[in-house]
Formats: sequence, structure tokens, C-alpha cells
Amino acid sequence: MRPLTQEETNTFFDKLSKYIGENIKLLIDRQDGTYCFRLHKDRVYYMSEEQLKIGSSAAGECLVSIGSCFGKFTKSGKFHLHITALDYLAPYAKHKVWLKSSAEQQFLYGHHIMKSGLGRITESTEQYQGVIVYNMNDLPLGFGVAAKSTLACRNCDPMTIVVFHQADTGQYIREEDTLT
Amino acid sequence: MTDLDTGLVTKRLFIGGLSSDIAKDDLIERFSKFGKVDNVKLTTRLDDQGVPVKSFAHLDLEGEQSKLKKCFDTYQNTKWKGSCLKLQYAKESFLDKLKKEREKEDVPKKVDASPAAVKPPDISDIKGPAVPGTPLPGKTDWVVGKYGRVLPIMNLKKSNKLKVVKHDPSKLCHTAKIFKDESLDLSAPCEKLTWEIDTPDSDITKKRKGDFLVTQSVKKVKKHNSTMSPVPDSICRNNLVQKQNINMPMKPAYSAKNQSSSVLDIPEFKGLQMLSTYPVDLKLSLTEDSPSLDVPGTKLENKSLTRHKNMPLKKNDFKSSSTGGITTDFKICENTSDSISPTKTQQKESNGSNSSPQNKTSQNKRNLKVSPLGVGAQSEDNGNDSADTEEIIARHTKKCNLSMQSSLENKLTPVAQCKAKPLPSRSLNSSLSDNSLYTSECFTYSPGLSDYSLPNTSLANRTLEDSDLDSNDFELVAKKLEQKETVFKPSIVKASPMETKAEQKVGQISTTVKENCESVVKVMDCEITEKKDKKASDNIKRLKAIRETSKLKLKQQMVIQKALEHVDSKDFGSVNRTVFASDSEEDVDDGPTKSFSEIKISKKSKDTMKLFSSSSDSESDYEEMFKSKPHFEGKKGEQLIKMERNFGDSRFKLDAKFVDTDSEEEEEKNHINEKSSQDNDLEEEKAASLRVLENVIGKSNLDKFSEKLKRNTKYIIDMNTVRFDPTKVLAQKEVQTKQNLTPGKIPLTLTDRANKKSSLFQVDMRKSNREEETNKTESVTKQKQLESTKVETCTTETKNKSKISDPESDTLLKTKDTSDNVKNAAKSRVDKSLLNLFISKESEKDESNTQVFSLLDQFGNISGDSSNESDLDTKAQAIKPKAVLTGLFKNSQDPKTKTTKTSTNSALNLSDQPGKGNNTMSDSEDLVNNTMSDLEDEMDDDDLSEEDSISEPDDEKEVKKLGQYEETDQALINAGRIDIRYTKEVWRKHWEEIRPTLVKLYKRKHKEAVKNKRVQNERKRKQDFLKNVKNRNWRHIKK
Repeated sequence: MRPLTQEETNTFFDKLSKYIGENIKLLIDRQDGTYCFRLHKDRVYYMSEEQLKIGSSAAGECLVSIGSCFGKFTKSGKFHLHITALDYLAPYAKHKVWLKSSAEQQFLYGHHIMKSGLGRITESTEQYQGVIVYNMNDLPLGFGVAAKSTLACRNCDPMTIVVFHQADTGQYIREEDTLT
Repeated sequence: MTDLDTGLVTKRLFIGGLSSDIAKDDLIERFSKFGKVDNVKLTTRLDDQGVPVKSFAHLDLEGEQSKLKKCFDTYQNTKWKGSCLKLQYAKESFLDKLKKEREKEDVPKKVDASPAAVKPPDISDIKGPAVPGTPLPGKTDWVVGKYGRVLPIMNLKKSNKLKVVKHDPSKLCHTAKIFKDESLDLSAPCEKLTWEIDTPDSDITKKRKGDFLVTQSVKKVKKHNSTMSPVPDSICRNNLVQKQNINMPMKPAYSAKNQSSSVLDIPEFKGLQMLSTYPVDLKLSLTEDSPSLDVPGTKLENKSLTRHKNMPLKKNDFKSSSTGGITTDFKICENTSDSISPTKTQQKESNGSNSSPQNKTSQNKRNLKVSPLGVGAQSEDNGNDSADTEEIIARHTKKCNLSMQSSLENKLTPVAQCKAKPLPSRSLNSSLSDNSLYTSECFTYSPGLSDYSLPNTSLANRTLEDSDLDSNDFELVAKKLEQKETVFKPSIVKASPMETKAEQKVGQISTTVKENCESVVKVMDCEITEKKDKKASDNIKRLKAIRETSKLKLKQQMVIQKALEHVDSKDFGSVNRTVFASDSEEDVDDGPTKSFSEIKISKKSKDTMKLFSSSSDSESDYEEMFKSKPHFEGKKGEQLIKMERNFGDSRFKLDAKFVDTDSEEEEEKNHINEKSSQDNDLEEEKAASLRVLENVIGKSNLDKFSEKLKRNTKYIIDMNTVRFDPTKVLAQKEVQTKQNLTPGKIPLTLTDRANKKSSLFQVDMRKSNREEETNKTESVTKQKQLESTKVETCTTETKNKSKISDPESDTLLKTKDTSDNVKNAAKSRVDKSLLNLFISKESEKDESNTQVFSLLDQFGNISGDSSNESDLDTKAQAIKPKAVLTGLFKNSQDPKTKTTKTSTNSALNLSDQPGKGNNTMSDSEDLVNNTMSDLEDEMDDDDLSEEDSISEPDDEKEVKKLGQYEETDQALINAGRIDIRYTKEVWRKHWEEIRPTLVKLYKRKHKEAVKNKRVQNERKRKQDFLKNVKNRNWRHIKK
């Protein structure tokens, strides 16, 4: 368990900023205490100071997870966000997509969101912008990447993919063993 | 089939491989060379078309074995008419086989027919499963029984009936059907079946039987005694307890004596106890008695004797009163005991009998001493005694154990009786359950009823009668005892010093008991010296040994007693309850138990002494406790104390050694440093990450964002850390309700104040204007008010208007303060604190609120006082609730009421109208206006004070309603309250839920409002009517 290097932080924040933009600052500079990101087994964990103290006493091999996992660095050095980061992304989300209740289940099973399932979308969402997916009751279901901008969405036919699926809360069940 | 005699053999041959054209005769011709051919059978197998395929022949050849062989040799595999011959011995022909079988079957049939040979057929004969009940094939009346046995079916005739019953063993057998044979009945019991050999038993056999030699038996008895040891313990207690009871009829002094004696009795009883089990002991105890009677020299003896004397005395008394069987019994028992005691040593029997006269003489002496009346009777008794002794001796010579026991019991019964006498009330209930063991208990004063159970000699019967008599004549006995106490006194006097000594020693019973033992021993010694008998000396030696054993036992007892003190404290609590006996307890067992209490006290004193001794230590501890300890001083000392406290064990004291605060502090410092370093690290990290973020997002953007954050200090909550806290939600709700309530309440107060203000103002107008002048700001307003109500309202309005810009609280405060000041003026007191408040309006809202409330109360009181002075005040009070109401229903109600009022009222009210109509004005202002208008109304209606008084009750009712209204309002508020976090659906749901209630509430409110309006209208009408009437009257008068 170590703090992120400059590069890693860069890539990580780059990725994160697609979803929550400058709200990352709220994660780093918190009012209610000191929080930090830590890398452990290629995974980035977000934890409080207390947790860090406790966790630092554990041997690296023994530590499975600490705090909440934001995602992992792939072998090629990219960063993948995990569904476990949703709790921190959702409140600070810049761009949101609301799903119709019919498309909700489809998304939760790992499918991309088609225009037919799109209930609402934040204005001025650009293409390949990270979006948080909500259901119509404003419950965060997951996140993804906008396949089309808001404008393009209006004109496309209903079967075109609007949002690429990245993570959904269904993964908590589907990938129970791999999620940390 | 073989004829061994001739050597001829008949064989059936198979000849195969014959050509089809061979005939029978050819075969016969050919084989006749080797023997006699018979029974030729030629068979030809034909094809489907009738063409012969092969043919073969069977024939019986009768001839010699060698010839047969020759035949085989010559014809085997030889060609005959183009075909190869094959010879074989053929299998037996089927018919022959059958024949043979039949023949065989015939043979066993013949065997069966003969009934003599009943051989059960084998189960193997049965083909198929041998199920029980299956009949054997070919055999009638044979069935397969259970367990695979073949059993015969029997036809039996029943014993009573003529009928012959068929018993199928497969059904009946092994169902435990037993055919009884009457002859088998045993007339003799089982015991008689065994018998003994007449030859005398050897030692080993005897032992086997359980008969041990005499020496061994003694040992056994001793052992028995040792085992019995716990019993005497209880006996002792019984003894003690019952002694108390015994004391009852006697004088206190005597009781005390007896008490001591009772203590002394314990060994005696031990002795008696031993008597029951071991005859020698009896002698011991008896010897104790007898010499002591003879020689009253030693004081201890006297003590022990006195008791014993008492018993005989009593007996004598009884004798004198009644038939006098007891004394005789007693003597007899003594004698018998003497006679019995030598049973172990048969040689001493005679000596024992010799000694018995001595005893008799002593008894006589005793009797003479004590009761000279009973001498004549005793002489007779003696004769009886002698007879008895003779009898007993005879018995002993017979060595009859049973008789011995009975005699022992006889002996002991009187003793028991002695003790039972004082307790005639102790009935004979326990008598029925008497065992040999129980008799021992009987000795120990549980009324001597061992007699009942034991079918004894006439003596026992006598004792029985006596006991009955005793119970009857107890009172007489008591009287006589009193008479004879004169005789006792010397002995008591003698004993008394010893008593005191004993009592001193009695601190613990055990010690006393030991002493007693010793005393007894001494007595014994004295006695021994006096006797100077050679044989007796042997006895004495033995006795010594016994005493020692008894001592040991006693010690054991004491140990056990001590151990059991706490356990058995229930029954003998008074005895065993040692420490902390309260005064009440002593009160409870007073009188006879005095001596005991004394003992107790002595015990207590000892205990207390012990306590004190221990307490001295504790005191020192105490002192130590309050000593200032240097190592407990200062901060470190505090820590130490804390540590000590935490440690819990008071025994473990912490010294200065345990303080290692320096190191701790250092550690702490280090820790802090570490912390700080860690924090610094984190800070650095944070800064680094922020820098990275700047790079990622762009500095301008981030700055903007941070600015934004600063601007709207929206606190974003980490949803992970947030937990639902129901209490918080409740608190929120409460806050909401408060917020909702306050606007409702404050107007009330305001209105009240306004009312009072005006009313008091009017009152005080007459009084003084001086105080008004003191109030700088308010005086102006008041003066204005004085000038004209109209102007006043205007000023208030203006004031309020000016304050509208301020927060509501400020306006409220101001209004309050104004009212306060007015109040002060009315009181003719200037409250500086209030003035201060006035100056610092915004500072403390709550405080002012509370103060206002309190002041209001005062105000109310004052107004009440003032009401006595003028009617106006009463009116004002009457108006109060109304004003309140108007305050509540300002929007709906007030305008209407006011319009109604205006119709009747002067033009002043009309001027107020715009104020009322102004909805944009703050509530307080509006209310003030309303109240003012109301006040004015009332003031205008001064002349109609009577009418107002009439209308007052209505107002009161309204006041009552007020609470209701408030409730409804509250309900409305509550119903309308919604959690902020609700989503749209939840909102809707909630709304749907509350809608009906809200509707209901609003309807109710409306109804109430309407009602109120009607009432007011009615009132107004009444007033109008009255006015009209007045006017008419006036007109009439004018006219």
C-alpha cells in the first residue's frame, strides 16, 4: 500500500474528472477529515486517515481491501473505474443519464443503454463524456460513457446506443468475488 | 441287479451307429455270443421326408463282466453293414427307474405304519420353503413348527371336558403354553430345601457365616461407636435444648445450676449413649452416679450429681404420690446395669452383683437423705430388684443377646423417663416409630417411649404406667419439688462457685465440654481410689481407655459441631448463632435461657474482643489510609492513584516505582511528532494531488470551483458516512413545529400586551404622567396615544411599518419592549434592566421572550388589581380573548368582525380600516391594529359596560375554544409537515395520506369559524338591540 505516484494520480484524476470534474477537489480536500488515495495491488483505494493508520499495520499480502476501491490500473497503465466508486461519483456527478424503468434491468445486467431506454439526459453532455446512470427515482445504478452527445441523442433512432456501459450495481452480485 | 454269486452282470447297452436296415434279430444274434440278450429296443430316427437318418438300439445284456468287456472290445468302432458301431453303457431306462423308486417308496411307508418308531421326519423332505405350519408331505399330523423344527400335531383331551382338542404345534408351540404337572408343586419352602451339616463349624466357616469371636466383636462395637459419633452431637444439642424446657418449672437459680449441669451432662450422656451400644459404658456412667451419691466431696461431682439427685427425687416423689414403680425401676436398671456390665468379662459378673448391694445401700442412703418417706417402699422394691437381677443374671448366663438388649433398654427407659418427666407435655407421638437406633434418641430425653415398641417384662409396663402417672401428677411433683428445694440448696450453694467458674470457662462450649470431660475423669479417678478393688482396677484401666476414646470422640464431635454450627443453625439457632446477637434476641429467649444468654454473652465478649483485636489492626490501616503519601502527590501521583484505582485490588499498593511518566510523556511527544509527521505527509500528499488536479482540470477551472465552493458553502456529505438517525429526524420535526408555533404564539402575547397597554394606559392616565416622561421613546408614543387613539394607532402602524424591513424577531422585540415600557409606566416603576433590554433589542431574543412572558403575568395581575378600580379594566380583560381570537383568525375572521364593529363604532375605527385591509403588513402589525381597533371599540362602548358584562361569558367560552383552535392549527401544521428528503412519489403518497385529514381539519376549522362568527353576530345584534332600546328610551324620555 503506497500513495499514488504523479503519473498514476494524473491518469486517475484524468479518468475521475470525466465523471465528476473539479469535484475531485471535494474528495481530496474534505471538511470532515483527512482522506487520501492509496494504491494497493494495482487498485486505488480511497480511505480516511484512521483507516489508513489501521491498514498500515496490516501486511501487504494480507490486505484484501481497505476503504473503498475506486478502480484499478490495468497492465497497460490505464485506469478502470469500479462500481464501488459509484458512492463517490454519484453525489458529485456532472453529467447524468436517467433510465426508463423498462431499460433499468437491461442496464443492470450489463447492457449498454439504447435511446429507447433513455429517460432523461443532462444537457450539454458531450460525446465520450463520463455519465452517471440513474433510474427515474434518482437512484444511482452505475456509470458509463456517453456514446452520443445530447444533441445527437435527439436525432438518432431508438435502437442506437446512447451510453456505453461501464459499471452497474448489478456487478455487486455478478462479480461478487472479484470486487474489492 | 448284480448277481455277485454267479458273477453275471446285467447291463443295458446302447448300440449306436447302426445302419437302418439292421433288424432286431440281427442284434440278438450278434450279442448273444457274449451273454443273454433281452429287452431289445431298436429305434430309428426318421427325416422329415421319412428317410431314416440314424438308428440305435438298447438292449440288456446279461453275462459275465469279462464277456461284456470282450463284447465292447470286439464291436466298438467296428463296421457293420457300412456303418460304424458305437457301444456304450446305457442309462437306466425310465420305466425301470420309476419302478425302482416306487419300490423304494414302499419301504418307508411300511416303517411309518409302525407307531413305535416315532422319528420326527426331516425338514429336508419338504420341497420349497419350510414355513411354520406347512404339513410334511406324505406325513399326516406332522407340521413344521417355529424355528424349522418338525413337530407332531397332538390330539389331547382337556382335563375337565370330554372334548379332544387338536393342538397344532406350529400355532401353539413356543407361545409358552405350559402343561402343568400338579405333582411338581413344592410343598416345602425354598429355605427348607437347603440344610446344614451337623458337624461343628470351624473358625473360618463361622467367619463366613458372620459369627466372629468375642474379642473381635468388642472391636466392632467400638467401631460402631466411633461411627455413631455424629449422633451424640445432635443428642447433646437435644439435651441442651430440652434442658431449657426442663428448667421451666424450676427456680431461676436452680435453672442456672441445671444449665451448668446440662453442660456437664454431655459427657454423661455420651456415657449413656455408650451404654446403649456398649454395656461397659453403662457401668461407667452408673459408677459415676453411685460414688458421687456416696461421696459428695468433690464439687464437680456435686454438680453433676445434683441433677441426678433431682431425678431420683422426683421419682421418689412420684413413688410417694403414686404406686412408686419408678424408683424401683431405676434401681433395677442400675442393678441390672451392674449385672450386665460384666457381661464382657463373665468373671466379673459376680463382682458386679456384689457391687450392686453397695449401690443399693447408696441408693438407700440417698433415699433416706432425700426422701425418708419412701424407705418402706424401697425395701420392698429392693426385694423386687434382687429378683430382677437374678433373672437378668440368669439370662446372661444363657447368653441371650435379645434379652440383653431388652434389659438394656429397660435400664435406659427410666433414665429417659427421668428426663421425660419434666416434660409431660411431650407426648407419646414419636413412640410409634421406634427402631433400635431410635431408642438411642429416646435416651436423650425424647420421651422414654422405647418401652412401647419393646414387648418387655413387667418392668417396662410399670414404667409405662408411671410415665402416664407422671404426666398426670406433674403439678404435684412440681409442688413437692419446691418443698424439697430446701434439701437441694446446700448442694446448689456448693456448686455455685463452680458454676461461676464454669461459666467463665464456658466462653466456648467445646472448651467447657472438655473441662467437663476432665472433671468427669477426675470423678472417676476419685471413685476408683475409693473403691480399691483389684478387679475393679482392671476395670478402671479399661475404663480409662474407654474414657480416652470417649474424649477423642468428644473432640471429634466438637470439631464436627463447629463445622456444622453454620449448617444446622436452623433448629438450634439460639445456641449456634454466635456473633452479633441483637438485644431483641436476648429478649426473646429470656428466663430459663438466661444462663445460655450469659454463655452467649461470654462468647460474644470473646468474639468482640477478637473483633477489637482485629480492629486495632484495621485502625492502623485506617490511619495509614489517611497518611499523605509522597508518591501520590503531583501529576504523577494522580496518575498513580488512577492506576491503583484501575487495578482494583486494594491490597496491591502502587509505589513511586510504578510511575514511569517521563517515558510515557516522551512517548506521547513522540507519538504527537509522529502524528504531526504523518499529518504533514498527508498534507503534502494532498497538496501534490491538488497540483495534479490543477494540471488535469486546469488551474482556472479549479480556482473558479474553489471560489464557487467558498461562495456557496454547500456542505457535501459523504453518503457512506451518513447514517439514518431517527432521533435527529424527530428533532428536526420538533424544530419545525416550534417554528410553526412561534408565529402563532407571539401574536397572542402581542395582542395581550396591546390590550393591557391600552387599558392600563387609560387607568394610569388619571394617576400620573410623570413616569411617562421618564420613558424617552415611549413617552412620545404614549403622549400621542393620549392625544388620540387614532393618532396612536397611526404611530404604531408607522412604527411597525418601519420595522417590517427588519427581521420579524426585531419587530416583535420592539413591540414587546414598547409594551414593557408601557407597563412600567403603569407600574410607576422604571425597570432599568428593561431599559437596557430596550437599548439592546437584537441582542437576546429568547431572554426577552421569557421575560416578556413573566412580565405579562405580572401585568395580568396588575390589570386584575386595576380592574377593581375601574370598569374599563374589566372590559379590557374581556376583550383580551377576543383579541386573541381575532389574532388567530386574522384573515378570515377579523375583517368581518371589524366591519360589524365599524358599523356600530365611531369614525375612529373607520380610519383603522385601511390598516386592517392591508394584508401585506406583518402579522404582528396586523394584530396590533386589530387589537387596537377592538380596544377602541370597547372604549367607545364605555357606556355599555353592563352589556359587556353580559357578553363576558360568551368571551370566556371563546377562551375555552381557543385551546381547541390552537389544537386544530397544530394538527394542520403537523399534517402539512413533510420530510424534505421525500421524493416525488413519496410526496404524492404522503399527500394522499394526509389529504383527508387535512380536509377534515380545514372543514372543522371553517365550521368553528362560522360558529364563532354567528356567535359574535348574535352578540352584536344583542348589543345593537339594547342600544336601540336605550335610544328609544332616551327618545321616549326626551319626548
